[in-house]
Amino acid sequence: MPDAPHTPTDPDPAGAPAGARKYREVTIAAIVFGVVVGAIMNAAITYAGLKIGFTIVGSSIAAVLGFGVLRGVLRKGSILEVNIAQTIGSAVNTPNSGVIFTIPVLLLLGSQYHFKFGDERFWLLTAACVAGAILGGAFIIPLRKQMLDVERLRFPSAVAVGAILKSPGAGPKKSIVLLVGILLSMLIYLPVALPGIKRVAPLEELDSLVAREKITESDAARTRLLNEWMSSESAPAGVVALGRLVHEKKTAADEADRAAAAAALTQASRPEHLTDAAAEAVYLAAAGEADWSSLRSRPAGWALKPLPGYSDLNWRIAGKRDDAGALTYESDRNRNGKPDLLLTDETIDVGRFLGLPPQMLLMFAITPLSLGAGYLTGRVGLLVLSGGVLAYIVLTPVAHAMGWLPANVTAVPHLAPEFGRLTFNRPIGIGLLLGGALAGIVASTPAMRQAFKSIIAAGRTGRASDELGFKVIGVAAIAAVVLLFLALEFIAEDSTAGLLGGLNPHIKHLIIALIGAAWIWFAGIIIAQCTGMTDWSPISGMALVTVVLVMVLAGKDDVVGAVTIGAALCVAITCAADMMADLKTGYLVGGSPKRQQTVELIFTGIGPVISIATILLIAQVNLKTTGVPMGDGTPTTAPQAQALQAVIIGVQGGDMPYALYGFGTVLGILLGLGSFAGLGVLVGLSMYLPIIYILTYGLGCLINMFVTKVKGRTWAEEWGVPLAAGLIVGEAILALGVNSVVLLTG
Amino acid sequence: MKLLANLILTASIIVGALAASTAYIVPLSLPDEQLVGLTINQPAGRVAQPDGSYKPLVPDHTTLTAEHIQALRDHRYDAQGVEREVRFVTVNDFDPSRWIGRWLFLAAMGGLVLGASLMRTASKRELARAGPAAATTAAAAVTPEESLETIISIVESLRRDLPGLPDDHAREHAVLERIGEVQSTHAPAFIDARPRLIARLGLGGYAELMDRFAAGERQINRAWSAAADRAMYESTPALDAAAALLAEARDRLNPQR
Repeated sequence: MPDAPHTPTDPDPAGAPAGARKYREVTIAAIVFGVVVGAIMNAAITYAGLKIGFTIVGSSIAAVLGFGVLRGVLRKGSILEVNIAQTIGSAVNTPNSGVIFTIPVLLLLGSQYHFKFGDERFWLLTAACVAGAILGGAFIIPLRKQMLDVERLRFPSAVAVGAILKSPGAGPKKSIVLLVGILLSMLIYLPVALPGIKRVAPLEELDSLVAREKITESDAARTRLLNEWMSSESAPAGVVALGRLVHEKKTAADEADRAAAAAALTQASRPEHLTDAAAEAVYLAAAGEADWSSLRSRPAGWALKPLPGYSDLNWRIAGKRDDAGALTYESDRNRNGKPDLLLTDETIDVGRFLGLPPQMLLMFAITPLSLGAGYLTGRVGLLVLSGGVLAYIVLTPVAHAMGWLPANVTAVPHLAPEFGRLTFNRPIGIGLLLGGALAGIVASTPAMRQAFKSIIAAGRTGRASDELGFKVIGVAAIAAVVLLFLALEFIAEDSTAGLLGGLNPHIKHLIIALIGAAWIWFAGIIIAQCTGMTDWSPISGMALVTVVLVMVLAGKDDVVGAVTIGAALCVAITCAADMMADLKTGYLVGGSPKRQQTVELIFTGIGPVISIATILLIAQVNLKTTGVPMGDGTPTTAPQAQALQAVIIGVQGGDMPYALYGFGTVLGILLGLGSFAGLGVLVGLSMYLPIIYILTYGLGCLINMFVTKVKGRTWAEEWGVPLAAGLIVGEAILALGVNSVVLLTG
Repeated sequence: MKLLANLILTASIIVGALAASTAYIVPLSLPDEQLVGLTINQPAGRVAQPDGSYKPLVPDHTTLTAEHIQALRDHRYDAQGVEREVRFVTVNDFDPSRWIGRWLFLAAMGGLVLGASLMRTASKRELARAGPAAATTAAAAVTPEESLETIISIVESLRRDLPGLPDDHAREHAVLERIGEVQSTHAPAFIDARPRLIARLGLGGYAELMDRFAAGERQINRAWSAAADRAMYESTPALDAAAALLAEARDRLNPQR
C-alpha cells in the first residue's frame, strides 16, 4: 500500500508531452544508458573477476544508476524505461562471467594456445562467445511462461531490482527502508572491501603489520632488503645477475632465447625471501634503466599495507598451550605462534567458537548480499542449506573419521573441508544438480508443452503475443549454431581421438556444434532454475561438465575446441539466467516481455567483445610487466580459469572422477521422484559451492522464517523485501566502487 | 507419513552420498593381486623430513607394486599426536567389484524410491483430506476461486470508479492503493493455492490457467507502475487488459461457469 500520493507539483516522470501520450519504455536514452553502463561494468567486473575470482551481478547497479540518470538527471525516465535500461545494462555486462571462467585458460595453458588482438583466434573465440550470448537468450525465451508464470520462480536479485524500480510508487517509508538496507549493507561490507585497497607499507610499520598478520615475515624481510639496496643504491652482484635473467626471460625476442633464460633461471641460486619481480627491479635500477626509488613499489614486491578491516578487531580464539608452552594445533593451525583469528576480514568462524573439530567447517562469509538473497528466497532456501550441511558437516567429517582421506589431509584436519569439496563433494554435487534438473524437466513437461502451445497459438492466430515468436527464436538459434560450427571449423585442432575421432572433421564439428547447442539449452535451464530458486548460479560446474563433454567427443588434445565451446556455453548459460531474471523484474513492474527480449538479444553480443578485449589488454600489460600473460606471478591470477585448467589437465591425465558425477546424477533423479522434482538441484548446488556463502544465505532464510512467524507474512514481505533488496544492492555497489579504486590504483 | 517419508529421504541421501564418495577409495585389506597395478591419484602416507617438512610415502600418480602395498600397510604416521595407519588409497579407476560402498548405495537408492513414494502418497492424501473448499493459506482463509474473484472485483471497481474521480492525482492514488493491496495480499493468496490447483487441474491445466492469470497480473503490475509514473493514459488501458485476461483465467478455473 502506498504511504503517500505524489504531490501535484511533481514533474511528470513519465515524460509524456501533451497530445502525444506514449508511456516511455524502449527509448534512445534507455538504450544509450544501458549500453554505456553495461560496457563500463563489464570491463571493471572482468578485471575484478580475473583478480579476485568472482563477479558481481550488474542488474541492481544498473537499476540504481538508471534511476539516478534517467529520472534524476534527465528528469523523464519511467519505471519501465529504467527497467529497459537495466535490462540492456545487465545484458551487456553479464557475458563477462562466462568469458573470464574459460577464455583465460588459453593464456594459462602455454604459448601455443595464446592469442592476440585481431588475430584469427581472437575473432573466432569472440564469434563463438557472441553466438553463445544470443543462443542462451534465445533458447530460454520459450521457457519464460513455464518458469515465471507457472513455476513462479523467486529470482531474489530480480525481486531486489523490482523493489528498486517500484520505489517511486511504493511511498517514502519503503524507499527509506530500501535506503537503510543499502546503507546497512555498505556499513557491514565496508570492512570486508577496504582491505582490498593496499598502499606501500611504511618501513617502521613492518613489525606491527607482521604482528597483525597483515603481511608475512617473508614480505617484511624482502622489504627490508629492498630498502637497504635502495638506500645504498647498490645490490649484491648475485641479485643483479638473477634480475638480469628474469628480465631476459621476459623480453626475449623468440622462444629459444626465452627457454634459455628460463633454464638459466632455474639453475640460479636465490637469496631467501627474494622474488623474481624484486630481483628484476633491482637489476633495472642497477643498470640505470630505473631509479633506485622504484624499489619502493608494489611491482618490486615491497610489502603492502591494506586499509583496515574486520581482522583489526583482533578477535582471536583462546590460546591453549601444550606442556612445552607452545600453542596447540587447535589454537594455532597456521603455526605462526599466535592464536588464530576467529574474525578475519571476510569470515567469522562460528565452528571454532563452538569448539567443533577442524574437519567440520561452520564458517560464515560476511556478505550482506547473500543474507539478503537468503531472506528473499525464504523457506525453500533451507533445502540449499541442507546440501551444505550434508557436504561439510556430514560427508567430510565421516570420510575423515573413516580414514578415507589421504594422510596429508588426515594429519592436518582443517584442510579436510576444502579437500572434500574438490575431490568428492563437488562432483557428487554437480551430479545431483544434473540429475535434479533432469527430473525437474521431465516433471515440468506438461507445463512446458502448455507454454509452447500458448506461444505457437499466439503466432498462428495473429493475436498480439507477449513474447518473441518461435520464428525469431529459431532464426537466432540457427544462426548461433552456424557461428559455433564455423568457429570450430577454423579453430579446432585436428584430432583422431575422442568418441567422434573417426569421423570426417566437418561432420565432427557439426555434431559438436549441435550437441553443444542442445547442451546449452539443458544447462541454461539448470542455471535459470538455480538462479530462480536460490540466486546462486552453478556456472563453474556447468562449464566444467561442458569442457569435459567436448574433450570426450573431440579428443583430449582438442583443448582449443573444448575451450571455445566451453566459453560459448558459459556465456550462453549466464545470459539465459540473466534473461530470465530480467524478465522476472519486468514481470513485477509490468514490462513487456517481448520488448525486453528484443533489446536483450540485440545488445547482449556486445558483452563478450568487451570482456575478451579487456582480458587481452590485461594480458598484454602483464606480458610487458611480468613476462606471463595471466595467472600466478601476475596481478590477475584468474582463479576461476585456473580451476578449469586443473580440470583440463585432469581429463588429459585420466584423473576425472566420472563415477562420482554418475552416482550424483542417479541420486539427483531419485531425489526428484518425490513431491518436489527439482530437489536435487537445490541440494547439489550447495554441496559444491563454498559453504561460507551458503551458511550466510541460510541465515537469511531463517531470518525470513522467523520474521514471518512473528510479524506475519504480509509484514515480512512488505518491509523485509525492500530491506533485503537494499542489502543486495549495497554490497554490489560498494564492491564495484572498491574494485574501481583497485583498478585505478593498480 | 510425511515425517516418515522425509526421514527416509534424508537418511537415504546421506547414505547414498557417503557410499558414492567411496567410489575411488580402495581398502589396503584387499588381496595384493587386486591392488598391484592400480594407479593412485592422491599421495599415500606421510613421512617427516629432517627439515621439519613432510613427504608422502608413496606419491600420487604412482602405479602400485607389491612393495608399495606392503610399505603402506606397515606405515604409521602422526596426526596431531595420534598415531594413524594407512587403511585406504585413492585410485583413478572405478571398478564396481572393489567399491566398498556399493551395497550401501543400492540401499540408498531403494530408500529414495520408498521415501519418494511415501511422500507422494502423503501429499495426495493431504490434498484429498483437505477437500476442494479448504482454506489455502492460514492468513487468508480463502479458496483460489475467492482470491481470483476478489482480484477481479478490485480491478472492475477501479475501472468503474476511475472516471468519476476528480483528477489524475486521485486516480493515481486509487490505483496505487487498491492494486497495491492486490499485489501484497490477494495475488499471493491465489498463487499459494498451487498444490491444490495442480491436484485439481493437472499440471497442464494449471499451466493453462496460470498463462492467463500471469498475463493479467502483469497488466495489473503495469497499471501500478504507470500510476506511480503519473501516466494514467497507460494505467487505464492496462487495467482494461487485466480485466479481460483475468476473466479468461476465471473461465479456465471454472469451465462450467
